[in-house]
Amino acid sequence: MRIARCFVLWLLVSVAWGLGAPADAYAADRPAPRTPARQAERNRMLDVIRRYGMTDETVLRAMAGVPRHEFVPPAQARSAYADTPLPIGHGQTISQPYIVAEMTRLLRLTPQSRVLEIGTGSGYQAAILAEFTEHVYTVEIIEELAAEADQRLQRLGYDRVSVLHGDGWEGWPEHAPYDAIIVTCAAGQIPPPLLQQLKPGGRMVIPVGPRYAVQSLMLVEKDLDERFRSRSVMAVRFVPFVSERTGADR
Amino acid sequence: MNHRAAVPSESELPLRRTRVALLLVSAAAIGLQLSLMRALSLQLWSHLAYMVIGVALLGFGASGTALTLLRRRVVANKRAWFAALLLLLAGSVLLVPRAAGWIPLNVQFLAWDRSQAAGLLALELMLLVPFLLAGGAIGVALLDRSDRLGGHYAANLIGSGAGAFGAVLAMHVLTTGALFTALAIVALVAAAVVLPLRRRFVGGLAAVAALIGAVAYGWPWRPAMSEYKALPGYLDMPGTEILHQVEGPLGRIDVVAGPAVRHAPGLGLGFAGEVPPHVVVLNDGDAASAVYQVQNLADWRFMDATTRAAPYHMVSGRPEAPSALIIGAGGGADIGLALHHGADAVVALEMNRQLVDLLTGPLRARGGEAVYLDPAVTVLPLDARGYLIRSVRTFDVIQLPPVDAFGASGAGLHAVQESYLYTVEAFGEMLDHLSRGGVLCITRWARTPPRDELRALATTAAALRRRGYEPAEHLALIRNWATATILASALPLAAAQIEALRAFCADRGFDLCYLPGLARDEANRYHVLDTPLYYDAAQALLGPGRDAFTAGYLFDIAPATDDRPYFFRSLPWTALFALREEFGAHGRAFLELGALMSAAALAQGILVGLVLIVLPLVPLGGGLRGARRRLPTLAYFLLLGAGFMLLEICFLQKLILYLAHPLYAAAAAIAAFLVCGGLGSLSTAGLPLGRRAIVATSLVVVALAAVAVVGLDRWLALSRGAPLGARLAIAGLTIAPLAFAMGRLFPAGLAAVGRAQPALVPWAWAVNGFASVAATVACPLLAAEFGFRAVLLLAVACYLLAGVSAWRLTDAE
Repeated sequence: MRIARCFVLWLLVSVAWGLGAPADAYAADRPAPRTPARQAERNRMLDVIRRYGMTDETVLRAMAGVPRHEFVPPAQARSAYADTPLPIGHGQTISQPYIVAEMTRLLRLTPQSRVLEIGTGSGYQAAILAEFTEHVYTVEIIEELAAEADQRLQRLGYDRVSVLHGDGWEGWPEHAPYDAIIVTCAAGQIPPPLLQQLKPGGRMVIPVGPRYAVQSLMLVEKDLDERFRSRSVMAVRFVPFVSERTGADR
Repeated sequence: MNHRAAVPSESELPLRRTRVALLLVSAAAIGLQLSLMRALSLQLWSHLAYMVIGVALLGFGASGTALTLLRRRVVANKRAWFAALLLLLAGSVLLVPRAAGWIPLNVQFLAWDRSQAAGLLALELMLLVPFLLAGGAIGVALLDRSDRLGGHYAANLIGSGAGAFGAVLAMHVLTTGALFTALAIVALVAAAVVLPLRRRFVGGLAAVAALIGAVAYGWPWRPAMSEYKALPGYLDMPGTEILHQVEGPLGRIDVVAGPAVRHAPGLGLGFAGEVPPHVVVLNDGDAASAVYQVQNLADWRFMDATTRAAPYHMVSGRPEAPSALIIGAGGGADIGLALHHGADAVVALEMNRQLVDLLTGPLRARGGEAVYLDPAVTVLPLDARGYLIRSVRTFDVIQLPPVDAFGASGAGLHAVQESYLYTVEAFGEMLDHLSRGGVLCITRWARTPPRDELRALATTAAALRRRGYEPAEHLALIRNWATATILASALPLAAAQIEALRAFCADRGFDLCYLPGLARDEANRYHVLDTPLYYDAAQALLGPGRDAFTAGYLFDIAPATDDRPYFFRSLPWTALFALREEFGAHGRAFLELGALMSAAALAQGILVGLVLIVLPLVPLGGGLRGARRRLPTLAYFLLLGAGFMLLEICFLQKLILYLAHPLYAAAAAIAAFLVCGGLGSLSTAGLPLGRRAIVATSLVVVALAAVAVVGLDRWLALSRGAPLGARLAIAGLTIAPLAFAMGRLFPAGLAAVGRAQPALVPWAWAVNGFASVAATVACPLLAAEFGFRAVLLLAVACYLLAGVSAWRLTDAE
């Protein structure tokens, strides 16, 4: 009798959970996630990302596969899938999920892409990149972060990601040129060696704003004639003039 | 023999000793406030300064409520309470700043992580303790006989003035940690002065003295600097070391060097050359600037890859070498740029004398000599406005580089910080110092969406219009991915200058945003935005539709003025909802922490103040249920507290511009208000004022403050060019009559309440404290919205209404 009650209770809870959970639009063609743990939260995170206007299914699939909660400190684990940046120590952060998705989209990665990341942090962005290509190189200047990220990526099966403890200003010339580079913009400067290590036709993405609150993204493209052109991309849609939005001046 | 007079009992306060102790505790309280502001600026950011002011005054107010509730016990044992509170204060001054370091706080995540609010609250509660004790000690003294209150209040004001001066002077020679020790000793001496000679008190004194010694030597104060500041970031890099560290009232300077330390912001993407080796200079662990170790002038070519190099190309066709004025020379990169372009006369203004000493001393061989000691360069430790008003020199190039850090601008850290450098009047004075065809160059960090760079353009255009020029003919705007530069001339831009600028931008891949005759399809070519936003905005701001454009823009880009000098505040409160609508949850990234913290401090001050004011009135609170004249007492002291602080802050702001240095202004304003107010207070000692006299004094304050509203700016402008000593004297004399009259009102009112309803005295002290909190924190928020003239008018209204309510404080004499 007790077993039957438990079964009914389990059934009710399961049905209620299923009704309450958002529709999983990506379940059909998503690759098997690295871990099923907290998949429902990951799916809700994807819904939030979609609400920002992200429609790139390949990026969404990658975000669905990487267990973000494994990349944040234990104290932040509860908030791992929240729509916020999170501190990871040493003054570094793991970006808001939508920012990670948008930066990844801007890189236009293919399985053949060779991609360099400057500022490994916890390794989360590198793991997302590794969902697209096996040629991921990431450099971190803080030794403790580099070691922890390397171990974490190995443990989670991202063993093709190469982590280097070194000065990101110099890039990683041994594996250059790169099709894509993703770099944290420190104090308004872009290291010239990185620009040189970008392949003609390659793309570099830089988050701009305070470290804990990315306000816009910068995309640098290197032409085939090796001239640079850059674009400022809002992380979210922006219409600067209120009068245009409302149809009337305030 | 009068035994009571020889050995006062614990229920009585010895007159002279009480006043000495009051002087000392008041000095310690103000000194602690300034030291904590210094400590928090170092550990976190300066926008927490208003939190300290709010907490300090809240502590004073809360002490009044506590005394109201404990009045009977305290009155029976005043001297013992006074001494005990001072002993506890001495201990807390030393322990609280150290214990505050244990609170985990990432204030930058306040908008994202609600748990940070709990951390902030814990920090505030901790900081509240010493101010509660100091306020309690002063409040106990104010429970003395009503005929003594004038003198007591005078000691309080004069001690506060001395504390402000003393703390700033001490910052020149003591580290922040040593300051806390010194303040603890001051509080201990105050306790020793009034201590009843009984074993338990002497034992307590010895115990606290031993504690101070043990803590000062065994547990040194070390600032727990936020890991999001630049210094901890640099120190995390392998091989980085601190070469020099100096501390002073303007902040702590650290010089760091190491293989991974690099700083060359704003370089164009096309620059592939070498940046010379350099060290980085940090102020309070942030706001970096570099000192470059160049071998020859050619090494400065990297600076020619920034938008700041444009003015030199625009004046390069002249036969003679250019002259340049650099405002905010910092590490000297802009001096190097001027020398690179052959300037033979460079005036470099750098207000931070410690930085000048570093570059001409320890960093001389590391690059300082090449810029600060070059024969063509004159370095002056002056504020730009102060220099411009007194100098008749003209320059071919006036360079105003971005004075704030790349990240700070976007985070809104300076949102409630006034700046008289970025106003219509300041830009106008700069234009007046240009030689014929000279170029004013104002550079800001480029933002997406653009904010302060458009505000700088609008401010420059307004300055040109005030001089009768048509800005569209006198201005240019260029940008690269990192910076936007405004170029302005007092003459219409010549064809040769326009051509030079076009060539400069084309060579470096910089975008032209505005230039006389520029077509829309010429803009937005290299660093591409979705639309030619800068071009469109410049056309609108320089055209007839500028007001509608400014009003319709999401961020505040209206010209900043000396009356509303909040250039860095770009997010008006009205835009908060639009921000949410525009960016959704991501809108939090654009919140301005400085303004947010001030608004939170104000809301908290009002809320806590209301609770603590009402608490003694409720049946269970006790004390004041049956007391008469509660409403006039509440109104009088509320209005007096608010009016006093509003007037003091407004005058301080006016003096920043007049005395051309924030520290001189703070010292002069605080000293004049507190010392002259103290003298006014002393003038009421033993001479109780009736209600007619109180009302008449209120009207005197109203009249003098109203004169200030109308004529203060013009009066001070007459002598802005006078020597500093003369200006200090004029400032003091201008404030003196007003402060004297203001100083009479509080003790006169308190004595009147003491005669009519003694139970209301500590409550009045509390009410006055809370009003001071609210007014101090509200002042910059109000000024940013409405301007300082409006705030002055509000202060006038406060004193007028205080005069009206004074009529009901007592019965007719």
